[in-house]
Amino acid sequence: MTLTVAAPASGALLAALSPATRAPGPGPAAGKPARRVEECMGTVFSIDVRGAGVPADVLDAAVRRLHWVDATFSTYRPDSVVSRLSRGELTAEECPAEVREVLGLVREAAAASDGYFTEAPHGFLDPTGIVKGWAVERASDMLVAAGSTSHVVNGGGDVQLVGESGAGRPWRVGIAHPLRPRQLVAVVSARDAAVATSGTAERGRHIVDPHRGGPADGLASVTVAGPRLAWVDACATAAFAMGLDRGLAWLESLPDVEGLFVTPNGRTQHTTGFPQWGALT
Amino acid sequence: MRRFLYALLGTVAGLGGLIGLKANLTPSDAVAETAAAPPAAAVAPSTEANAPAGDAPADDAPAGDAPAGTAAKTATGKLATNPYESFQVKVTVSGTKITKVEVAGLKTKDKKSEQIATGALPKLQQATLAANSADVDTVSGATFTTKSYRESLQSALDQAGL
Repeated sequence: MTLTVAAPASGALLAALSPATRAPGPGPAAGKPARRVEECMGTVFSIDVRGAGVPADVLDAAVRRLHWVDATFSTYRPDSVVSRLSRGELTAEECPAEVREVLGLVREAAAASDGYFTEAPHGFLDPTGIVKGWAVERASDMLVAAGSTSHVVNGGGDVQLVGESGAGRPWRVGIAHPLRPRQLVAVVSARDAAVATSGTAERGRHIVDPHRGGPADGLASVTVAGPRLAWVDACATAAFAMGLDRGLAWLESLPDVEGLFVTPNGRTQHTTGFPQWGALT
Repeated sequence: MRRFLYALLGTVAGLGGLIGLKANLTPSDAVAETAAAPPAAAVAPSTEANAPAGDAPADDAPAGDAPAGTAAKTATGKLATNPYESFQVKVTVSGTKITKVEVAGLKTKDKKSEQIATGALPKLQQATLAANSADVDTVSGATFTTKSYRESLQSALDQAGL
């Protein structure tokens, strides 16, 4: 395999070698390529801005936004807006507009997936299945608004791509093999797209099949590619809950997404349009 | 090519912090980590004769002018140190492809650090090789935890700035 490296800039690479000797950058208003890694929502977010880049304060604001989303939507924090909404201490009208937006997306996804995506997978209001993807999408939008034309925001394995990684080169997204740590099952090449994966590899059987009332366990992972991450993330969760046959048929019926399924014994199946996005490794 | 080597050496230099973290794991964790490590023939810590301890850092010497398709060349990184161990990374490049990542001259503080280092190094070395050979910019997978991120392909990419 030919190996090419899409390096953002030699300066960034040298900085990775010797951060202490990194030259001071230009003023705060100047955009530049940058990479930011941030723990949030119990996972790690990676922001990789190429091209002309964005000012550092825009990255700071995007990261603050992620933490705000976590604090607002967390079901682990009893004082979060969503926890209070769930207990009936707040009405939807009293919540920030972002909460109503996400709840609207949740209901759309539930209606489109015959209830396999649900707002209360564990018996209480829990929009977690869509919040991370939505938050990544919004952080990406903030970078676009600040002038970025080339970046990827990765929230714990759910990815929003903007533009391409370099001139004439689409972003290349490795799809983690659910059964073989640190190996890839496929590579998706795309511009201006989103990729999300649901599976049991990291957190066990945590996705519920709401129609059976138990954990969905017929698949090792489902990867969905499409235009926008909030929707793509919800599709991956719902398709995982559906299992192979129903999930595959459902993704085929949707106009704007493609999917790759990996079964617990390592077999792969994909929608007919998936090869336009990616290739199995 | 040179940028590529810098990137890789940057990645493995970043291992120091990871191993430092791993030194805080309980013994049972350490055993599990070691047991889960892949076969490490190509990435095992090495003290072989062609990488003597006095070998000068050569991260800018041999490979920078190597045209694609020539015989395998090696480059040795600077000494990486952390509170638990020190080591150098040796990279073998054939044409434009990295074929081997080795750790030379591993010196650890104590027996436990040595066990942890020998268990942990191959996992991130393997991740570095995999991420580079697949030529990917980012990785999609089931949502990792903050702990498992540190051994992931995405972590290798983030550290290298690839």
